Amino acid sequence: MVNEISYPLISLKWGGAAGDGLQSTGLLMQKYFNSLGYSVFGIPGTQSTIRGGHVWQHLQVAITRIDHFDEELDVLFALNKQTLDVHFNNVKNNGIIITNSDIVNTDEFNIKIVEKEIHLVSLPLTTNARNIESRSLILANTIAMGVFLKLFNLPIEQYHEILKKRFAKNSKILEYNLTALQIGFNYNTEQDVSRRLGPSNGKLDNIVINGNQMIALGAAASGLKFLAQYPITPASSILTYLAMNAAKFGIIVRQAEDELAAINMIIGASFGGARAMTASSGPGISLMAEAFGYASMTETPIVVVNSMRAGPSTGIPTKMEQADLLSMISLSHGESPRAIFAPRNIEECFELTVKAFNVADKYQIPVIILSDFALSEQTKNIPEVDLNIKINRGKIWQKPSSEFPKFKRFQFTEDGISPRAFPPTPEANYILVGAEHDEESHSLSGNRCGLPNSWTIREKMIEKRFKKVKKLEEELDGPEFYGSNDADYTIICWGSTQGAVNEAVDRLNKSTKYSWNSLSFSNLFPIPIQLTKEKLQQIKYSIMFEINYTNQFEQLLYLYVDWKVNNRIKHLNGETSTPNLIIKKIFQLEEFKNE
Amino acid sequence: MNKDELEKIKFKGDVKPNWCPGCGDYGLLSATTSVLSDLGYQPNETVIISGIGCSSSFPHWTSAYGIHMIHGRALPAAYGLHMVNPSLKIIVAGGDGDGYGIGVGHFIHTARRNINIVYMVMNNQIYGLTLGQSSPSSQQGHITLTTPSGVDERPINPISLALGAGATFVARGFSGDTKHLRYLIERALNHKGFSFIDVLSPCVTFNKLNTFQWFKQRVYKLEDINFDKSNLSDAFSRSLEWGEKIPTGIFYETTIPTLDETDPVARNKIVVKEKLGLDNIDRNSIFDYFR
Ligand SMILES: Cc1ncc(C[n+]2csc(CCOP(=O)(O)OP(=O)(O)O)c2C)c(N)n1
Ligand code: SF4
Repeated sequence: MVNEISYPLISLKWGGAAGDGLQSTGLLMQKYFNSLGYSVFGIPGTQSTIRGGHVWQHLQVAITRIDHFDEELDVLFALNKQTLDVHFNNVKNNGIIITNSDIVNTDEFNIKIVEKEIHLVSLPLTTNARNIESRSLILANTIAMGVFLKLFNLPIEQYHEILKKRFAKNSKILEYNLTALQIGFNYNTEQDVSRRLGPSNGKLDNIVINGNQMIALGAAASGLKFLAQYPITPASSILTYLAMNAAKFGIIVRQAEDELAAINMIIGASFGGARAMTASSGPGISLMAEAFGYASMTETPIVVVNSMRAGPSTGIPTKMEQADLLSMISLSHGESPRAIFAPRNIEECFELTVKAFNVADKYQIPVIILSDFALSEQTKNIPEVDLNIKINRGKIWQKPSSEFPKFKRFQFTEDGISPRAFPPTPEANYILVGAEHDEESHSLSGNRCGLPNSWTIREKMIEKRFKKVKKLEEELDGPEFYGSNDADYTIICWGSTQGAVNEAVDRLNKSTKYSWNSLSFSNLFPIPIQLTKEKLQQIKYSIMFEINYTNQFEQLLYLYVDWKVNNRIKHLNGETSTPNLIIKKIFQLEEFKNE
Repeated sequence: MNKDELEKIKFKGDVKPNWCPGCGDYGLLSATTSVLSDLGYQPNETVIISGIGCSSSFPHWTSAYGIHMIHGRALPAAYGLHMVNPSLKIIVAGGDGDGYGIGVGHFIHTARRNINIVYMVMNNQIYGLTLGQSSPSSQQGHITLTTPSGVDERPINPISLALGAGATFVARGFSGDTKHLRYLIERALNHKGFSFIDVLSPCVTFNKLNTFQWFKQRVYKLEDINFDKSNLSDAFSRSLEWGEKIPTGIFYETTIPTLDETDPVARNKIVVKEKLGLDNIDRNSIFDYFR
């Protein structure tokens, strides 16, 4: 009798050198499982290396929805020796290693392989790949994929479909891949157990998408008309996805000469009436500081995506951190109102981008979407999003009305929001200016500077600009609890760590005698004070989890809500956080030493 | 005033310039507003964009729409506006510090892209607004606030730079000769592509070296010497001339497709006039890519 193992979830990792085609194989694999109705979740481990080095693609496949990943592996694809060196210890007992015998010598792991009862499939991937097509080593991935399908009794036909779609435009490459897949599938792996993934019950028509693509799609659905961007990891895929779809979506997509240009370009486009966006990461965002303040001062709506990477300076470009929060709150000199949204998951990348555009237009402020490497580059399958969204362009002046008989760009109003007009609207000609200005946008920095009348206007203008964000607070969403409201312990987080934190909460509720919940924030700034207070008051004992050294969000809560956390954990090595890591960090706290 | 007279001054703004009396920039301002009026442009269809500097206050003295940007960033703003609405007439005006110093990168890239706008630099070879420091176009040896022993860097050559960057209309004017300036501005406005005019525009307060008098003794017009402005090498050689004789006029003019004619979206539509969102697009054509 052959034993059978049924998996509710498979955690697997491909490791190899950059250029080995891991990410594209990872994506095909996700599309494959998606087409079978499973949940997939992918995280790339990249280096700033184009060829060579060590990169990996992590993938979780599950029969139920997942929003996190675990380090422990059921399957490791080791295309090079370094993959074994780095990830061997993560392979579970009874796990599987598929490796390339042409270049990977597993001798030093043999004892451990036996001890952990790991099923090792070592086959000459390079030789086999070369036999199909002498130059394409990338076929090694497809061969390994064939082995994997066989090991888990998964349907090969469905993978044919995925390959056919991927290589629809290149029949030769398709043929190579189909052959490679079959070679792997036919390879005799001599298992004494039969492995199966539990039955799927998900939808078959979900989409596999990453955070940046969701931001891009959210922007397009919101009526984005102009994107100017300078390439940088991990924001580039917003530019590339929209460039690919520019003509279809009707969006002008231009690569700027630098980020200074990019943000000033979108200010020009917004002045002309277009919804406009740019995206970057730390180094580029720093360059945008001066113009960002200009947008705020001139009440010009723009959306800026900051996909955070580990800083400061060049930092670690391909790793995640949440250390830009305070600099986003104070980006640019002087005091310039803005809003900041930090999506907590892929779905919110879309929703909050839509919100960002509406808030930018309605309140005539620059809005920052604060993503990070882990979210921007993470892939997940979700149902198709509803592209038919509500668009609010705010107060736009087209001709004299009873409310605004004469156009004054910065007219003082009850809510601080003035009418906006775009050229060539007649009777509305005005000069946008970054100097302090009067209601008609005449500069106060020249001959009128220092005159008593200008003092009054200056004070009223500051008041006006901040009145808008006070009003904005009314439509912001407060933090959300996950788990019961009256738990003994609350983990507080913001942005992309939500998935791992919530899974940690579930595990802690199962494994400890206490009750746990989480409180997560996405509308970060201005902080919705009332809603935040209401939730914080219910907390019995709080543990803040954020990926920065200086407790940035904690500082915000203290400053704006006059509230202090009880304890904190952090994780600063750059890798995306996992539930078990969070749990481990919690149990390292003095309070839990004896648990 | 009768209708015709009003028409003639329709680009003149309500706010009086705060430039020093005698500043060279007045010459360009009056030439520009009069040409725009004469050629029948409308203030609400015209946008004048500038950076920071004395010269960059230019838009405020006109009746057109305008953007008074931050220092050195007028061209990117103009680019964004132009791409979303190429039907607007866009003129960028600024100083040498603004355009040849802090913003020189954008100058090169905007020229290279051949976007259909006019760029005029009021080149006074000094930083006026900040009270007299040297500029990238300051003459060697010039004693300024920041160069007490004289400028020891070679000045930028805006004409060669523009030619090298691929500008399709390259000219130099002198604000002491507004008639000729009007001619150049008219030609620049009529040119399809990136039109650049370096305008010698003396700062009467801080530049006591390159004065109106200094220029008057040196400038001559290329239009007066049978110069072939379609030849790029001739343009380059002529651009090197500076000293006893200084050429003004059109150095080079050529016509190639502009960016709004080649951009896959802008060439078909004016995006600000289009409906917002993706409602009109087949959902499958969007989502299939993700399966
Ligand atoms: C980023 C930045 N740096 C410095 C300044 C200060 N600043 C204002 S105008 C100017 C130079 C202006 O020179 P130019 O562009 O030649 O204009 P001009 O005043 O001579 O007409 C400088 C350095 C500034 N406004 N912004
Ligand atoms: S300081 Fe020079 S450039 Fe500025 S207004 Fe006076 S004369 Fe003109």
